[in-house]
Amino acid sequence: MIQSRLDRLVALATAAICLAVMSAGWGMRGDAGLFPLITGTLGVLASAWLGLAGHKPPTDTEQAPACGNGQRLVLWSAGVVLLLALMEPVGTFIVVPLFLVATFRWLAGLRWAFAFLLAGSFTLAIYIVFAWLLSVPLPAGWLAS
Amino acid sequence: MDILIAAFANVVTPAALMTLVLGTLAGILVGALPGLSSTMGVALCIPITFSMPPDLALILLGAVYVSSVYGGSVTAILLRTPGTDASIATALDGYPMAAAGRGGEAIGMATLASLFGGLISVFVLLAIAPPLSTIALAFGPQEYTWLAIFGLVTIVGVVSERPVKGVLSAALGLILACVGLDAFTGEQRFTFGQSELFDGIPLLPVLIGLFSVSQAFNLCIPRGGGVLSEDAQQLQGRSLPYWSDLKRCHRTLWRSSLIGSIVGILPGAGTSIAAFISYNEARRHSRHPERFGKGEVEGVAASEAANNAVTGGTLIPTLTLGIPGNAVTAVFVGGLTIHGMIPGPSLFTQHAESTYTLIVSLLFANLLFAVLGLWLCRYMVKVTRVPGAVLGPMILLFSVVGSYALRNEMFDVWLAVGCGLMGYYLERWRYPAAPLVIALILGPILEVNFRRAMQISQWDMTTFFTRPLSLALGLLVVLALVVPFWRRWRRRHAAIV
Repeated sequence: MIQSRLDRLVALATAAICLAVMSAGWGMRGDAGLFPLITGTLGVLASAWLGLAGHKPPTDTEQAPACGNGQRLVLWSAGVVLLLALMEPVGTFIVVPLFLVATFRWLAGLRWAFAFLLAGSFTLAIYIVFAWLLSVPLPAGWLAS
Repeated sequence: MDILIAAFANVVTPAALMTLVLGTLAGILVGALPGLSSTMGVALCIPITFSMPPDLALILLGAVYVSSVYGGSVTAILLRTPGTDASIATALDGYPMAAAGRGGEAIGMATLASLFGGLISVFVLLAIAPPLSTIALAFGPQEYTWLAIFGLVTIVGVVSERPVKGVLSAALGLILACVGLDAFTGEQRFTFGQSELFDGIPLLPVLIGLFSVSQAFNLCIPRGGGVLSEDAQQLQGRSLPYWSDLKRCHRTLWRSSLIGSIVGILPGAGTSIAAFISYNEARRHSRHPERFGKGEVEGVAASEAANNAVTGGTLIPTLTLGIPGNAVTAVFVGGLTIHGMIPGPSLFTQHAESTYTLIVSLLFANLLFAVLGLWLCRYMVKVTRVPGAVLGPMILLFSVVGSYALRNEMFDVWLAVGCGLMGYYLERWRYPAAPLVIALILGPILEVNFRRAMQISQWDMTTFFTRPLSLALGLLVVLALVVPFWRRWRRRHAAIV
């Protein structure tokens, strides 16, 4: 997709959001809706400006965004979602080293031994800094008992 | 003079120097880690100071404060993950320098600029604190409104190659700033019934997400990704800036330090405003403004000098009037009160020796973080050679745990990761993220002061134009809006002719 078409889509989406904000602000009590109205208006005007500017013929600098590695994006995003979803039920200090080993092995291509060593060291660092020094009560999960 | 000599004597004792070193190291670490902030660092030190004498307690808190502001620049430059919101401007030029194999130069310049700014602000604090505090009292809600608008206009102009995208990003940030319970009416705005949003969208997870988590995505997703560009892989790089660059930047350093000191005096104005205003001024005065945002060392110097100059500035209203300059100094007030020192005019009379010991210790803390920073620079830079798929997960995990540490809520973690994904696509689609974050910071300042001014004046808009200071700031805003368009028109006109 070329940049100008992308910009027009973004302009359309943000205009819709800003109109919704303005509409919600209009119905608020007292002057609580004043700022949403003002910022929504600013957003709509900026969207209109962007949308109109996107109709200009593309110049040499307006290249399409570079293609990313879709498979790695999906794998990585799935890993992150799993990490977050399991952090509370399973426990931070179980999920974190597992996530690290998986990413070091399958994304970075490290050897198993090195992946485990690096993951273990980093998990220990997180424990020392956050759990021990700063006393942050990270989710314990299965280790709670 | 006797008080100053006594203060110096208090700071050079072995116990005080040890406290300074520990506080400086802790502050650099706190500032560098995404998810930890200066406010957290100082707040976490308060319980440690319970058993300490007041002088040592203040030395520790002061050292953590100034060095954490500097610490934020290290990760901002090397990894594009600003540890504090004050370092966002530093990342604009610092990270491109690191990617080009010039990370050492960037950190070296950031260190020296931070030292310069910090020293200037300490001297300002020492020399003219009480008279300067009257400036803080002269600022009313009208002036704060204009200052917030000025900050927004400056940032939009600075970070985006196309201003319209910066305006759009800022507008979205201002909309996000509306989320939460309205301060005046208590109305729930865009909370969708989520209690975690009653206090508004928390800034730190958004900051961590848009910069740190998105950077983790950038490092992990491309095969063979990393901080250094292909050409830079072969470079050794310096660990200090060139003397010619330092000479070139000396006006910028002075200007930025003064801007930082003045903005710091204004309670609630924020370090990020000072950093961006200084950055914009440096770009305006530069012979090569087109180089800013692409690895111009003067950009790093401007933002870092302003950042650290703010630290002394914020202590002026705190110590002289008892009005905290920002969240960190609000915690400072708590620390002072615990040790029986009530901030205000009496602090310089009843507890003069302790107060000046704090100020003198800031001098030493600035020197100490500069020495440590310059020494550790060559080692810190090696992190840029770590493969992206190894560095990325580590950055992500620090961000995740740091976001959780704020309120012990998984909501903040999900928010950070969601913002990270958004930041990843914003960057690919060439939309700037910085205006969104800055608008999220300035939005509440702008709204609260605007509505306060309107209520005081009974909805008379002329209140923003009838006060001299207000009018002057308004004119600055108009100039900041008009001048770039006028310059662009002149360039086009000259090209046609």
